[in-house]
Amino acid sequence: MKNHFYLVATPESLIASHLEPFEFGNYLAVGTKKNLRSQSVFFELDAEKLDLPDEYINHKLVTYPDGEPKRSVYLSIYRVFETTPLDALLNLYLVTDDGKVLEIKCQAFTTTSEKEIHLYQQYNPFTTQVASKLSPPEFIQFLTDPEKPVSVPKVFFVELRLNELAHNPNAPLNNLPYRNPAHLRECLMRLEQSSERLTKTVLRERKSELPYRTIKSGFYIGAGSDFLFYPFPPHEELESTYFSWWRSALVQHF
Amino acid sequence: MSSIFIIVPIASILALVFAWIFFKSMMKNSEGTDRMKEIAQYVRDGAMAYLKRQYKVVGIVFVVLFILLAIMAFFKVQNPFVPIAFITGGFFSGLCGYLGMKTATFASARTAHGASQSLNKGLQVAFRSGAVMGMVVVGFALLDIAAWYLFLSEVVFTPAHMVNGVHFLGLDFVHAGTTEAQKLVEITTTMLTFGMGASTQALFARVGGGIYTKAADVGADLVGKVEAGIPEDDPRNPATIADNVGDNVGDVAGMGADLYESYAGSILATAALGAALPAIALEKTGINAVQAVTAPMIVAALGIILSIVGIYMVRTKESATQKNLLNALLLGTGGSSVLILLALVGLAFAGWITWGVFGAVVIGLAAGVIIGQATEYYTSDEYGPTKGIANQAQQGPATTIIDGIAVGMSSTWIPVVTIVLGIMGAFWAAGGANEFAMGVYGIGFAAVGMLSTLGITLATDAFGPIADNAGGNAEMSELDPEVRERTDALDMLGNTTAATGKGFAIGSAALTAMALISAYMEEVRLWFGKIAKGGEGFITKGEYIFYNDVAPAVHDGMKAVKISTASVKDLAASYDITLFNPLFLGGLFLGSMMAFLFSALTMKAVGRAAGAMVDEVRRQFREIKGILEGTGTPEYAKCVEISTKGAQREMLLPSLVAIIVPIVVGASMGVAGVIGLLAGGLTAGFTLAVFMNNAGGAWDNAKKYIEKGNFGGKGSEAHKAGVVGDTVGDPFKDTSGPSLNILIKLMTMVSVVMAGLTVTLSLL
Repeated sequence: MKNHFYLVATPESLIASHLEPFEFGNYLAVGTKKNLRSQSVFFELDAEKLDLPDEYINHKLVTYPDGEPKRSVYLSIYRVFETTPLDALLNLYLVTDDGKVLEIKCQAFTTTSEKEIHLYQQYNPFTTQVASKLSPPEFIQFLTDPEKPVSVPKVFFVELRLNELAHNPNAPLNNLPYRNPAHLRECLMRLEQSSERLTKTVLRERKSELPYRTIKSGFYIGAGSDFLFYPFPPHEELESTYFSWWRSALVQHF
Repeated sequence: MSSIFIIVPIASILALVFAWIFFKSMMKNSEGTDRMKEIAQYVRDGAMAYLKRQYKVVGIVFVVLFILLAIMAFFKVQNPFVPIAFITGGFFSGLCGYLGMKTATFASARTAHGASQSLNKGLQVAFRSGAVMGMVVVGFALLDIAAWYLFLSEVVFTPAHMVNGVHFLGLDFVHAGTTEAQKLVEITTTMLTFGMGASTQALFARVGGGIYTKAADVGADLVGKVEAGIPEDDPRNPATIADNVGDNVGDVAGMGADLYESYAGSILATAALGAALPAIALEKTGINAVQAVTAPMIVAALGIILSIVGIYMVRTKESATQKNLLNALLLGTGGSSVLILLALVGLAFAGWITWGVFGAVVIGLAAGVIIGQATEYYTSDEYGPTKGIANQAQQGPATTIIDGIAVGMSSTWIPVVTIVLGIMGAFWAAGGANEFAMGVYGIGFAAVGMLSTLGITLATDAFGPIADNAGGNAEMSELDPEVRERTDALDMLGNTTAATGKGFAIGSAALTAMALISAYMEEVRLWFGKIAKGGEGFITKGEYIFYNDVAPAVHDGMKAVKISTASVKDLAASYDITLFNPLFLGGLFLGSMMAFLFSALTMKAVGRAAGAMVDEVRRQFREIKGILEGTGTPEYAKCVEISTKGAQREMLLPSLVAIIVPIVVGASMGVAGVIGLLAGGLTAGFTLAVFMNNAGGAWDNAKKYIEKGNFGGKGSEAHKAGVVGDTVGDPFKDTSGPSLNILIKLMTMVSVVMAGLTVTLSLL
């Protein structure tokens, strides 16, 4: 059986598995006994670009006596994003609660000149939600600048939709399901009113799962000017091409 | 028999012929892909399994009631025709449910396939399938009525039989010396009892269907959607087929049986009131007794023919937009209503009905439209009340519930005021100010007018659930999003056109129940005559002596009234039916309580049946490998069986309570108690039904309004609160609310059928 390696963001871990990405995503979400469900986000990794503990893998990653594939062998659970080189990252996979998997390929990022407020949900190394005047590449540089007293070696985050709020914090919330909208508006207003302030923390920690439908441009991972962009497909494409996943992603969970 | 009466059996057969034509034309359409066929077959099997078991249980209840009625007939406290009339009413109602369900389950995949070609094609398949239900209901109901009328008037109550009497197996089928006037009263009150069979079957269908559909819905949602996180109508959910079956058994079979009972009940009650019109009233109006009795049947027959015309008026181009389709549907339903009014003008000119009765029908139709529009206002997300609930959802579930209850309660005022004005208007328009009996005849006729075009209004009602099921089939078969959008559009179209149909159904239920209470008093009068005949020729009740032919000597303060000319007011006065009679007042309280108790029983039943479904879905997720990966097949049939069993088990208690309470009240509190029970049941039940239906509908649409992208949309806190409101509202609008109208009429029907026992015991 072929060995696969995955960098999981929910929670942070490096996992070896016999499962193909779609099977692995389903396994992560619902387990083998279907008694659990959870959203997951992970990358497939290029083993050639990684420094892996081969001996440990050969010892642990073996099929079960009945021929069943080994589903997961944890190789690392600490500072994995930081130590994984960007060129080892292959496709990104978004898994819904019930195990439907969407594959996203990396693409070149196109800069837009429009000035607006952005909302970023970080996955690693923190799970803070931040509103910012910075574009995604600027935000990466801002957070990973080693010259600054507060910085991180690498960030992985997703840009979320603000719709009209991006230009007018008092605009109606409409289809944005964010908790405590009054607080969000206040954060956006403070950011808008201050010319010096570039970022404002909205939520210190994300406690619930991310509604995928709120994703705007897509996922970003990197440090400094070196980053990868994984664009989230437009809703029309999700509706027409990835309907099964999209339906699952739209389900309301409690 | 009048020659024009021949139109009644002809129209009923015509309805059945067109039902067959519509069915065959629907069946010519393809069911689509193999996957679509497979899913449709699962739903069909589940629906038929449900009906089989349902009819088995209901069959046992019917056999028991048949034996009880036969024993009562043997002891001469029951009309000997009643047991058979009771069975035929139930049989045809059940047959309508069976044929409607069969059509609907054949139509869903075909509608989805039609929608894949065009919106118009989808509409034509769904609408024609709904028309099968409409035609079957009106066809069988009128056929049963026509057959009984012809049998009783032409075979049983022949001149020779009326002179000599008919005695068979020790039972008096026709009393010797029956007069022409008595003949019509005997015939119509006998036929009225066939309504009890229809009402009993309707209550079982509505309660059973309501419990089934909500148990499956809650089971599918709680475990499938909430616990396992899989979407609605997902084939991996073991309860998803049961959920789709539930839409059929609740919305199609339940609604069909419900409206069959309303339709038949309104015609029968009005005919009975027509037979009871005093000679002086007939003389003044220039119509004869036979015309008064057969006029509601003839109007119903004309309504069938005009409904068929209306169905053919629903035509659009292949490229039709949703607005075009809506206009086409409104043209069909509105057109047939206008035509029925013109037909009534013709009948008035021909002297078959009075202009006052025509006025009563116009008032009835106006009341139906107003109630329908009020329902639309309080439950549609285009208006303030539902938007207000969605707005309150931002504060959490508690305020959502509070606001939903408030909206439901306030939504009762327009229908109640409309019905009050409708009753008074129809009563006075028909001449009730001068002749009480003409007034209540007008009230009954208003209900007949409202339901006369049921053939087409039921088609617009039934095509909604068919389109909904088609959407489910398209979802599970993973058809193009465009197809699902079209089936959703058809579903929405159905909801819009059904609003007026609902208004007519609700309004006619209240008017029919009112007419039935008057008919009950006619039944009391009939039994006075029979008991007097079997004794000294007269009976004493309160300060009244009622006699058949020769007035006995009366004491001071006593009033002697000839039974054949006794008015409802005389009968009511003899039983002291006033607020100051504790029996009547007690009955009022009991009637009001019945509406609440019955609602509680049905809601509790949903909870228990849903619990069993939740356990089963959890078990399947736990034990069947590969369900969530899509490699293992869930045991759909197990879930269907659990919902079916649960519904059958749980429907018995509320249904039997509805049958037993009027009998017990009649036996223990007499006629005054029964009238109190029926009046309390009608007023509280009608108001509670409007409250529950509208609160449930408003909660549902408030949730959908949020899901459209308001107040945070799907996944927001407001949405969570909206889902809680919708879940609370589900048994309101799909189980308890719709069953209340039948409860009201079933209690009245049971009272009518048991009038002999009640009157006999009250005279002891």
